[in-house]
Amino acid sequence: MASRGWIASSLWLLCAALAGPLAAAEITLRDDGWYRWEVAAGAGGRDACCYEFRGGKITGAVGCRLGHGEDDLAAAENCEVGSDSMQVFVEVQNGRVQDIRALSSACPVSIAGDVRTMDDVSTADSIAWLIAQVDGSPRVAEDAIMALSFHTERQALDALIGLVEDTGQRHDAREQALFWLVQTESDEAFAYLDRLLD
Amino acid sequence: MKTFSRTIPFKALAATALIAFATQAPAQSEASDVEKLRIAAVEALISAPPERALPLARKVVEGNYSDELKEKALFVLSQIEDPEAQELILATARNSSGDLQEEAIRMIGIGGNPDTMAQLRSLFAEGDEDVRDAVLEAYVIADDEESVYQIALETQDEEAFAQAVEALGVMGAHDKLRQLRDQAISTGGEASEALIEAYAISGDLESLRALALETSDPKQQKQAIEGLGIIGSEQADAALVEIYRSAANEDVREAAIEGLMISGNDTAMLELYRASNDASEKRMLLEYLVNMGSEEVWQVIDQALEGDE
Repeated sequence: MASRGWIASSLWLLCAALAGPLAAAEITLRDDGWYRWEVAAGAGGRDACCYEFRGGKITGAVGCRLGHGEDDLAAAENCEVGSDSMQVFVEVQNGRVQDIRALSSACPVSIAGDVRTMDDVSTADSIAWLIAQVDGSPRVAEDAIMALSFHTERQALDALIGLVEDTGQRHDAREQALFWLVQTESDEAFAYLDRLLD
Repeated sequence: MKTFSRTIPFKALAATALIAFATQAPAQSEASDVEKLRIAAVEALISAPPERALPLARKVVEGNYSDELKEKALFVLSQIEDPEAQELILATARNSSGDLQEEAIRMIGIGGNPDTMAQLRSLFAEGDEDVRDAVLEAYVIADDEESVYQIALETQDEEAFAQAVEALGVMGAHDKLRQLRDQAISTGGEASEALIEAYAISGDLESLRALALETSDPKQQKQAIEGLGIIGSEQADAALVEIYRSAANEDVREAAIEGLMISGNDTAMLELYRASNDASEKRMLLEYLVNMGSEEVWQVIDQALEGDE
Protein backbone atom coordinates (compact mmCIF):
# COMPACT_ATOMS: atom_id res chain seq x y z
CA MET A 1 0.00 0.00 0.00
CA ALA A 2 1.24 3.40 -0.86
CA SER A 3 2.36 5.43 2.09
CA ARG A 4 0.12 8.21 3.15
CA GLY A 5 1.06 11.68 4.08
CA TRP A 6 -1.03 14.65 4.89
CA ILE A 7 -0.79 18.20 3.88
CA ALA A 8 0.95 19.94 6.68
CA SER A 9 0.36 23.42 7.89
CA SER A 10 3.01 26.04 7.68
CA LEU A 11 4.29 25.86 11.20
CA TRP A 12 3.49 22.96 13.47
CA LEU A 13 4.57 24.64 16.62
CA LEU A 14 3.99 23.35 20.06
CA CYS A 15 1.96 26.22 21.18
CA ALA A 16 2.30 28.36 24.18
CA ALA A 17 -1.11 29.00 25.54
CA LEU A 18 -3.13 32.00 24.56
CA ALA A 19 -3.39 34.60 27.24
CA GLY A 20 -5.96 36.77 25.52
CA PRO A 21 -9.71 36.86 25.92
CA LEU A 22 -11.90 34.23 24.36
CA ALA A 23 -14.58 36.71 23.54
CA ALA A 24 -14.51 39.21 20.75
CA ALA A 25 -17.45 40.89 19.11
CA GLU A 26 -20.41 38.48 19.27
CA ILE A 27 -18.46 35.28 19.72
CA THR A 28 -17.90 34.04 23.25
CA LEU A 29 -16.40 30.66 23.99
CA ARG A 30 -17.08 30.02 27.67
CA ASP A 31 -16.22 26.37 28.19
CA ASP A 32 -13.56 23.94 27.10
CA GLY A 33 -14.22 21.88 23.98
CA TRP A 34 -14.75 22.35 20.28
CA TYR A 35 -16.84 25.14 18.74
CA ARG A 36 -17.97 25.53 15.17
CA TRP A 37 -19.55 28.25 13.09
CA GLU A 38 -20.18 28.83 9.39
CA VAL A 39 -19.60 31.90 7.26
CA ALA A 40 -19.31 32.64 3.57
CA ALA A 41 -16.06 31.41 2.03
CA GLY A 42 -13.58 33.23 -0.17
CA ALA A 43 -11.45 31.52 -2.80
CA GLY A 44 -9.11 29.98 -0.22
CA GLY A 45 -11.86 28.61 1.98
CA ARG A 46 -13.98 27.01 -0.73
CA ASP A 47 -11.80 23.92 -1.06
CA ALA A 48 -10.00 23.92 2.29
CA CYS A 49 -9.84 20.38 3.61
CA CYS A 50 -7.36 17.60 4.41
CA TYR A 51 -5.84 16.02 1.34
CA GLU A 52 -4.15 12.71 0.75
CA PHE A 53 -0.62 12.88 -0.54
CA ARG A 54 0.79 9.85 -2.39
CA GLY A 55 3.91 9.57 -4.46
CA GLY A 56 4.50 13.29 -4.26
CA LYS A 57 1.04 14.11 -5.59
CA ILE A 58 -2.25 15.19 -4.14
CA THR A 59 -4.65 12.35 -4.82
CA GLY A 60 -7.82 13.79 -3.33
CA ALA A 61 -9.58 15.27 -0.34
CA VAL A 62 -10.15 12.82 2.47
CA GLY A 63 -11.81 14.93 5.15
CA CYS A 64 -10.29 15.87 8.46
CA ARG A 65 -10.22 14.33 11.90
CA LEU A 66 -9.68 16.94 14.56
CA GLY A 67 -8.61 16.44 18.14
CA HIS A 68 -7.26 12.94 17.61
CA GLY A 69 -3.63 13.89 18.02
CA GLU A 70 -1.04 14.19 15.27
CA ASP A 71 -1.54 10.72 13.86
CA ASP A 72 -4.90 11.50 12.39
CA LEU A 73 -6.40 9.24 9.79
CA ALA A 74 -8.76 10.14 7.01
CA ALA A 75 -12.35 11.04 7.83
CA ALA A 76 -13.54 10.13 4.34
CA GLU A 77 -12.27 9.00 0.95
CA ASN A 78 -11.92 11.14 -2.18
CA CYS A 79 -14.71 13.50 -1.27
CA GLU A 80 -15.89 16.60 -3.09
CA VAL A 81 -15.22 19.59 -0.87
CA GLY A 82 -16.14 22.62 -2.95
CA SER A 83 -18.52 24.96 -1.17
CA ASP A 84 -19.41 28.64 -1.06
CA SER A 85 -19.31 28.54 2.73
CA MET A 86 -16.69 27.54 5.24
CA GLN A 87 -16.74 26.23 8.77
CA VAL A 88 -14.46 27.53 11.47
CA PHE A 89 -13.54 25.09 14.23
CA VAL A 90 -12.05 26.29 17.48
CA GLU A 91 -10.77 24.14 20.32
CA VAL A 92 -10.62 25.60 23.81
CA GLN A 93 -8.58 23.86 26.48
CA ASN A 94 -8.14 25.07 30.03
CA GLY A 95 -9.92 28.24 29.08
CA ARG A 96 -7.53 29.01 26.26
CA VAL A 97 -7.78 28.73 22.50
CA GLN A 98 -5.71 25.75 21.48
CA ASP A 99 -6.54 25.23 17.84
CA ILE A 100 -8.28 27.01 14.99
CA ARG A 101 -9.20 25.30 11.72
CA ALA A 102 -11.01 26.78 8.78
CA LEU A 103 -12.44 24.25 6.32
CA SER A 104 -14.86 24.19 3.46
CA SER A 105 -18.36 23.46 4.70
CA ALA A 106 -18.41 20.42 2.42
CA CYS A 107 -15.23 19.01 3.92
CA PRO A 108 -16.12 15.98 6.08
CA VAL A 109 -14.90 16.52 9.62
CA SER A 110 -14.70 14.05 12.46
CA ILE A 111 -14.03 15.48 15.90
CA ALA A 112 -13.16 13.72 19.13
CA GLY A 113 -15.82 14.90 21.53
CA ASP A 114 -18.81 17.17 21.25
CA VAL A 115 -18.94 20.24 19.09
CA ARG A 116 -20.96 23.29 20.01
CA THR A 117 -22.36 24.84 16.85
CA MET A 118 -22.80 28.59 17.02
CA ASP A 119 -25.60 29.91 14.87
CA ASP A 120 -25.86 33.26 13.17
CA VAL A 121 -22.23 34.20 13.32
CA SER A 122 -21.62 36.96 10.79
CA THR A 123 -18.50 37.29 8.69
CA ALA A 124 -17.68 40.48 10.53
CA ASP A 125 -17.96 38.73 13.91
CA SER A 126 -15.87 35.81 12.71
CA ILE A 127 -13.16 38.13 11.43
CA ALA A 128 -13.17 40.26 14.55
CA TRP A 129 -12.80 37.19 16.74
CA LEU A 130 -9.97 35.80 14.63
CA ILE A 131 -8.12 39.13 14.61
CA ALA A 132 -8.27 39.10 18.40
CA GLN A 133 -6.55 35.70 18.42
CA VAL A 134 -3.52 37.08 16.55
CA ASP A 135 -2.33 38.36 19.90
CA GLY A 136 -2.15 34.77 21.11
CA SER A 137 0.55 32.17 20.79
CA PRO A 138 2.41 32.06 17.48
CA ARG A 139 0.62 28.90 16.42
CA VAL A 140 -2.83 30.17 17.27
CA ALA A 141 -1.98 33.46 15.57
CA GLU A 142 -0.88 31.65 12.46
CA ASP A 143 -4.04 29.54 12.40
CA ALA A 144 -6.12 32.66 12.89
CA ILE A 145 -4.45 34.52 10.02
CA MET A 146 -4.87 31.58 7.68
CA ALA A 147 -8.53 31.31 8.66
CA LEU A 148 -8.97 35.04 8.08
CA SER A 149 -7.68 34.69 4.53
CA PHE A 150 -10.31 32.04 3.78
CA HIS A 151 -13.17 34.48 4.38
CA THR A 152 -14.86 36.30 1.54
CA GLU A 153 -12.43 38.42 -0.40
CA ARG A 154 -13.36 41.95 0.59
CA GLN A 155 -13.47 41.27 4.32
CA ALA A 156 -10.43 39.02 4.21
CA LEU A 157 -8.40 41.63 2.33
CA ASP A 158 -9.35 44.38 4.74
CA ALA A 159 -8.48 42.22 7.72
CA LEU A 160 -5.16 41.06 6.32
CA ILE A 161 -4.09 44.53 5.20
CA GLY A 162 -5.13 45.83 8.59
CA LEU A 163 -2.81 43.31 10.23
CA VAL A 164 0.06 44.12 7.88
CA GLU A 165 -0.24 47.80 8.68
CA ASP A 166 -0.72 47.36 12.40
CA THR A 167 2.68 48.33 13.77
CA GLY A 168 1.56 47.13 17.20
CA GLN A 169 1.42 43.54 15.95
CA ARG A 170 4.31 41.12 16.14
CA HIS A 171 6.36 41.26 12.99
CA ASP A 172 5.94 37.58 12.21
CA ALA A 173 2.17 37.99 12.33
CA ARG A 174 2.37 40.93 9.92
CA GLU A 175 4.55 38.91 7.57
CA GLN A 176 2.15 36.00 7.70
CA ALA A 177 -0.70 38.34 6.90
CA LEU A 178 1.28 39.48 3.85
CA PHE A 179 1.84 35.90 2.82
CA TRP A 180 -1.84 35.02 3.05
CA LEU A 181 -2.72 38.23 1.28
CA VAL A 182 -0.80 36.96 -1.73
CA GLN A 183 -2.65 33.64 -1.48
CA THR A 184 -5.96 35.41 -2.05
CA GLU A 185 -4.73 36.09 -5.61
CA SER A 186 -6.99 39.10 -5.82
CA ASP A 187 -6.24 42.22 -7.87
CA GLU A 188 -6.36 44.33 -4.76
CA ALA A 189 -3.84 42.18 -2.94
CA PHE A 190 -1.29 42.65 -5.69
CA ALA A 191 -2.09 46.32 -6.01
CA TYR A 192 -1.35 46.58 -2.30
CA LEU A 193 1.98 44.82 -2.73
CA ASP A 194 2.79 47.21 -5.56
CA ARG A 195 2.14 50.15 -3.26
CA LEU A 196 4.22 48.57 -0.53
CA LEU A 197 7.14 48.54 -2.94
CA ASP A 198 6.76 52.23 -3.83
CA MET B 1 3.83 6.12 10.22
CA LYS B 2 4.06 9.83 10.75
CA THR B 3 1.02 11.68 9.57
CA PHE B 4 -0.16 15.22 9.75
CA SER B 5 -3.66 16.47 9.53
CA ARG B 6 -3.38 20.21 9.36
CA THR B 7 -5.83 21.69 6.96
CA ILE B 8 -4.65 23.86 4.17
CA PRO B 9 -5.57 24.13 0.52
CA PHE B 10 -3.16 22.58 -1.93
CA LYS B 11 -2.11 25.83 -3.53
CA ALA B 12 -0.71 27.00 -0.23
CA LEU B 13 1.38 23.90 0.34
CA ALA B 14 4.29 24.94 -1.85
CA ALA B 15 4.76 28.06 0.14
CA THR B 16 4.66 26.60 3.62
CA ALA B 17 8.41 26.54 4.04
CA LEU B 18 8.50 30.12 2.94
CA ILE B 19 6.59 31.25 5.99
CA ALA B 20 9.12 29.71 8.28
CA PHE B 21 11.88 31.38 6.31
CA ALA B 22 10.10 34.67 6.16
CA THR B 23 9.54 34.73 9.86
CA GLN B 24 13.14 34.01 10.68
CA ALA B 25 15.38 35.57 8.07
CA PRO B 26 14.41 39.22 8.44
CA ALA B 27 14.91 39.06 12.19
CA GLN B 28 18.59 38.39 11.53
CA SER B 29 19.12 41.53 9.53
CA GLU B 30 18.97 45.14 10.46
CA ALA B 31 16.47 45.93 7.74
CA SER B 32 13.96 48.62 8.52
CA ASP B 33 10.36 47.78 9.27
CA VAL B 34 9.32 48.61 5.72
CA GLU B 35 12.24 46.72 4.27
CA LYS B 36 11.28 43.65 6.29
CA LEU B 37 7.73 43.83 5.00
CA ARG B 38 8.97 44.27 1.46
CA ILE B 39 11.17 41.22 1.83
CA ALA B 40 8.22 39.22 3.14
CA ALA B 41 6.09 40.48 0.25
CA VAL B 42 8.64 39.48 -2.38
CA GLU B 43 9.16 36.10 -0.75
CA ALA B 44 5.43 35.52 -0.78
CA LEU B 45 5.43 36.04 -4.54
CA ILE B 46 6.99 32.63 -4.98
CA SER B 47 3.54 31.10 -4.50
CA ALA B 48 1.73 33.67 -6.64
CA PRO B 49 0.70 33.02 -10.24
CA PRO B 50 3.60 33.92 -12.56
CA GLU B 51 1.65 36.65 -14.34
CA ARG B 52 1.09 38.27 -10.93
CA ALA B 53 4.58 37.80 -9.61
CA LEU B 54 6.51 38.86 -12.70
CA PRO B 55 5.60 42.59 -12.79
CA LEU B 56 6.37 43.01 -9.11
CA ALA B 57 9.63 41.10 -9.32
CA ARG B 58 10.59 43.20 -12.34
CA LYS B 59 9.82 46.35 -10.41
CA VAL B 60 12.22 45.29 -7.66
CA VAL B 61 15.02 44.05 -9.90
CA GLU B 62 14.97 47.19 -12.04
CA GLY B 63 14.26 49.63 -9.24
CA ASN B 64 16.21 51.35 -6.54
CA TYR B 65 16.04 48.65 -3.88
CA SER B 66 18.51 46.89 -1.63
CA ASP B 67 20.55 44.01 -3.00
CA GLU B 68 18.87 41.71 -0.47
CA LEU B 69 15.44 42.54 -1.84
CA LYS B 70 16.67 42.22 -5.42
CA GLU B 71 18.14 38.82 -4.65
CA LYS B 72 14.76 37.65 -3.34
CA ALA B 73 13.12 38.93 -6.51
CA LEU B 74 15.71 37.15 -8.64
CA PHE B 75 14.80 33.88 -6.96
CA VAL B 76 11.13 34.48 -7.74
CA LEU B 77 12.06 35.17 -11.36
CA SER B 78 14.18 32.03 -11.53
CA GLN B 79 11.05 29.99 -10.85
CA ILE B 80 9.05 31.60 -13.63
CA GLU B 81 9.26 29.86 -16.99
CA ASP B 82 8.76 32.95 -19.06
CA PRO B 83 11.31 34.49 -21.45
CA GLU B 84 10.75 37.89 -19.84
CA ALA B 85 11.73 36.55 -16.43
CA GLN B 86 14.79 34.85 -17.85
CA GLU B 87 15.80 38.02 -19.66
CA LEU B 88 15.58 40.00 -16.43
CA ILE B 89 17.86 37.57 -14.63
CA LEU B 90 20.31 37.55 -17.51
CA ALA B 91 20.37 41.34 -17.68
CA THR B 92 21.15 41.47 -13.97
CA ALA B 93 23.88 38.88 -14.42
CA ARG B 94 25.41 40.96 -17.19
CA ASN B 95 24.92 44.49 -15.95
CA SER B 96 25.28 44.39 -12.18
CA SER B 97 28.34 43.71 -10.10
CA GLY B 98 29.48 42.12 -6.89
CA ASP B 99 27.20 39.90 -4.85
CA LEU B 100 24.09 40.78 -6.85
CA GLN B 101 25.71 39.78 -10.11
CA GLU B 102 26.94 36.51 -8.63
CA GLU B 103 23.50 35.78 -7.19
CA ALA B 104 21.89 36.45 -10.57
CA ILE B 105 24.31 34.00 -12.16
CA ARG B 106 23.51 31.36 -9.55
CA MET B 107 19.80 31.95 -10.17
CA ILE B 108 20.35 31.07 -13.80
CA GLY B 109 21.60 27.70 -12.60
CA ILE B 110 18.68 27.29 -10.21
CA GLY B 111 16.20 28.12 -12.97
CA GLY B 112 18.00 25.76 -15.35
CA ASN B 113 16.47 27.33 -18.46
CA PRO B 114 18.55 25.96 -21.38
CA ASP B 115 18.54 29.21 -23.37
CA THR B 116 19.65 31.27 -20.38
CA MET B 117 22.18 28.65 -19.34
CA ALA B 118 23.74 28.94 -22.79
CA GLN B 119 24.62 32.56 -22.03
CA LEU B 120 26.79 31.58 -19.08
CA ARG B 121 29.75 30.75 -21.32
CA SER B 122 30.25 34.36 -22.36
CA LEU B 123 29.91 35.51 -18.75
CA PHE B 124 32.61 33.05 -17.77
CA ALA B 125 34.90 34.20 -20.54
CA GLU B 126 34.50 37.87 -19.66
CA GLY B 127 34.31 37.60 -15.88
CA ASP B 128 36.81 37.80 -13.07
CA GLU B 129 37.52 34.94 -10.70
CA ASP B 130 34.39 35.56 -8.62
CA VAL B 131 32.16 35.66 -11.69
CA ARG B 132 33.78 32.51 -13.03
CA ASP B 133 33.16 30.81 -9.67
CA ALA B 134 29.51 31.87 -9.78
CA VAL B 135 29.14 30.58 -13.34
CA LEU B 136 30.64 27.23 -12.38
CA GLU B 137 28.41 27.09 -9.34
CA ALA B 138 25.43 27.67 -11.62
CA TYR B 139 26.54 24.77 -13.78
CA VAL B 140 26.99 22.59 -10.69
CA ILE B 141 23.51 23.55 -9.48
CA ALA B 142 22.08 22.69 -12.90
CA ASP B 143 24.20 19.52 -13.02
CA ASP B 144 25.55 20.54 -16.43
CA GLU B 145 28.78 18.52 -16.68
CA GLU B 146 29.15 19.01 -20.40
CA SER B 147 29.36 22.80 -20.22
CA VAL B 148 31.97 22.69 -17.46
CA TYR B 149 33.92 20.11 -19.43
CA GLN B 150 33.89 22.33 -22.52
CA ILE B 151 35.21 25.25 -20.47
CA ALA B 152 38.03 23.11 -19.09
CA LEU B 153 38.79 21.82 -22.56
CA GLU B 154 38.87 25.17 -24.29
CA THR B 155 40.29 27.61 -21.79
CA GLN B 156 43.91 28.70 -22.10
CA ASP B 157 43.86 30.17 -18.61
CA GLU B 158 45.43 27.85 -16.07
CA GLU B 159 43.41 29.26 -13.19
CA ALA B 160 40.14 28.99 -15.10
CA PHE B 161 41.05 25.42 -15.98
CA ALA B 162 41.65 24.64 -12.31
CA GLN B 163 38.30 26.19 -11.35
CA ALA B 164 36.46 24.17 -13.99
CA VAL B 165 38.18 20.95 -13.07
CA GLU B 166 37.38 21.49 -9.40
CA ALA B 167 33.73 21.97 -10.36
CA LEU B 168 33.80 18.68 -12.27
CA GLY B 169 35.23 17.08 -9.15
CA VAL B 170 32.40 18.45 -7.04
CA MET B 171 29.95 17.08 -9.60
CA GLY B 172 31.56 13.64 -9.42
CA ALA B 173 32.14 13.78 -13.17
CA HIS B 174 34.59 10.87 -13.37
CA ASP B 175 34.28 10.33 -17.11
CA LYS B 176 34.80 13.99 -17.96
CA LEU B 177 37.84 14.22 -15.71
CA ARG B 178 39.33 11.10 -17.27
CA GLN B 179 38.70 12.54 -20.72
CA LEU B 180 40.58 15.67 -19.70
CA ARG B 181 43.54 13.57 -18.57
CA ASP B 182 43.49 11.58 -21.80
CA GLN B 183 43.34 14.84 -23.69
CA ALA B 184 46.36 16.18 -21.78
CA ILE B 185 48.36 13.02 -22.37
CA SER B 186 47.49 12.93 -26.06
CA THR B 187 48.95 16.40 -26.45
CA GLY B 188 52.14 15.48 -24.64
CA GLY B 189 51.08 16.79 -21.25
CA GLU B 190 50.24 15.07 -18.00
CA ALA B 191 47.57 15.01 -15.34
CA SER B 192 47.77 18.39 -13.70
CA GLU B 193 47.71 19.06 -9.99
CA ALA B 194 44.16 20.40 -10.40
CA LEU B 195 43.04 17.20 -12.11
CA ILE B 196 44.45 14.98 -9.40
CA GLU B 197 42.77 17.09 -6.76
CA ALA B 198 39.51 16.79 -8.69
CA TYR B 199 39.88 13.00 -8.82
CA ALA B 200 40.14 13.05 -5.05
CA ILE B 201 37.17 15.38 -4.64
CA SER B 202 35.07 13.25 -6.98
CA GLY B 203 36.14 10.02 -5.31
CA ASP B 204 37.68 8.52 -8.46
CA LEU B 205 39.61 5.70 -6.80
CA GLU B 206 40.51 4.00 -10.06
CA SER B 207 42.21 7.04 -11.58
CA LEU B 208 44.04 7.92 -8.39
CA ARG B 209 45.28 4.38 -7.82
CA ALA B 210 46.69 4.30 -11.36
CA LEU B 211 48.49 7.60 -10.79
CA ALA B 212 49.65 6.50 -7.34
CA LEU B 213 51.40 3.50 -8.88
CA GLU B 214 52.95 5.55 -11.68
CA THR B 215 56.54 6.23 -10.69
CA SER B 216 57.68 8.44 -13.56
CA ASP B 217 56.65 11.65 -11.82
CA PRO B 218 57.31 11.49 -8.04
CA LYS B 219 55.49 14.74 -7.31
CA GLN B 220 52.37 13.61 -9.14
CA GLN B 221 52.60 10.19 -7.52
CA LYS B 222 52.81 11.72 -4.05
CA GLN B 223 49.78 13.92 -4.72
CA ALA B 224 47.79 10.95 -6.04
CA ILE B 225 48.64 8.85 -2.98
CA GLU B 226 47.53 11.61 -0.64
CA GLY B 227 44.42 12.03 -2.81
CA LEU B 228 43.49 8.45 -1.88
CA GLY B 229 43.42 9.66 1.71
CA ILE B 230 40.99 12.41 0.76
CA ILE B 231 38.63 9.79 -0.68
CA GLY B 232 38.78 8.08 2.68
CA SER B 233 36.84 4.98 1.67
CA GLU B 234 37.62 1.45 2.81
CA GLN B 235 38.99 0.59 -0.64
CA ALA B 236 41.09 3.75 -0.81
CA ASP B 237 42.56 3.03 2.62
CA ALA B 238 43.32 -0.55 1.59
CA ALA B 239 45.13 0.83 -1.46
CA LEU B 240 47.16 3.12 0.79
CA VAL B 241 48.19 0.22 3.02
CA GLU B 242 49.20 -1.79 -0.02
CA ILE B 243 51.18 1.13 -1.41
CA TYR B 244 52.88 1.59 1.96
CA ARG B 245 53.85 -2.06 2.18
CA SER B 246 55.17 -2.27 -1.36
CA ALA B 247 56.78 1.18 -1.47
CA ALA B 248 60.06 1.33 -3.31
CA ASN B 249 61.27 4.42 -1.49
CA GLU B 250 60.75 6.45 1.65
CA ASP B 251 58.87 9.28 -0.10
CA VAL B 252 56.15 6.91 -1.27
CA ARG B 253 55.87 5.34 2.17
CA GLU B 254 55.59 8.75 3.75
CA ALA B 255 52.92 9.81 1.22
CA ALA B 256 50.95 6.65 1.96
CA ILE B 257 51.10 7.21 5.70
CA GLU B 258 50.11 10.87 5.17
CA GLY B 259 47.17 9.56 3.15
CA LEU B 260 46.08 7.33 6.01
CA MET B 261 46.36 10.26 8.38
CA ILE B 262 44.22 12.42 6.06
CA SER B 263 41.73 9.57 5.91
CA GLY B 264 41.81 9.33 9.69
CA ASN B 265 42.26 5.57 9.59
CA ASP B 266 44.16 4.91 12.80
CA THR B 267 43.15 1.25 12.77
CA ALA B 268 45.07 0.62 9.55
CA MET B 269 48.01 2.59 10.88
CA LEU B 270 47.99 0.57 14.09
CA GLU B 271 48.08 -2.63 12.06
CA LEU B 272 51.14 -1.34 10.24
CA TYR B 273 52.69 -0.49 13.59
CA ARG B 274 52.07 -3.94 14.99
CA ALA B 275 53.36 -5.62 11.83
CA SER B 276 56.61 -3.67 11.84
CA ASN B 277 59.81 -5.02 13.35
CA ASP B 278 61.76 -1.86 12.67
CA ALA B 279 62.17 0.34 15.73
CA SER B 280 62.50 3.61 13.79
CA GLU B 281 59.48 2.77 11.66
CA LYS B 282 57.47 1.91 14.77
CA ARG B 283 58.49 5.22 16.33
CA MET B 284 57.44 7.11 13.20
CA LEU B 285 54.05 5.33 13.07
CA LEU B 286 53.54 5.94 16.76
CA GLU B 287 54.13 9.66 16.22
CA TYR B 288 51.49 9.68 13.49
CA LEU B 289 49.05 7.86 15.76
CA VAL B 290 49.63 10.40 18.51
CA ASN B 291 49.21 13.28 16.06
CA MET B 292 45.92 11.77 14.90
CA GLY B 293 44.65 11.78 18.46
CA SER B 294 44.05 8.06 18.19
CA GLU B 295 42.46 6.47 21.24
CA GLU B 296 44.07 3.17 20.36
CA VAL B 297 47.53 4.63 20.74
CA TRP B 298 47.15 4.34 24.52
CA GLN B 299 46.78 0.62 24.16
CA VAL B 300 50.13 0.58 22.36
CA ILE B 301 51.77 2.82 24.92
CA ASP B 302 50.47 0.71 27.81
CA GLN B 303 51.76 -2.42 26.16
CA ALA B 304 55.13 -0.79 25.51
CA LEU B 305 55.37 0.25 29.14
CA GLU B 306 54.60 -3.32 30.15
CA GLY B 307 57.38 -4.48 27.86
CA ASP B 308 55.13 -6.38 25.48
CA GLU B 309 56.18 -4.42 22.43
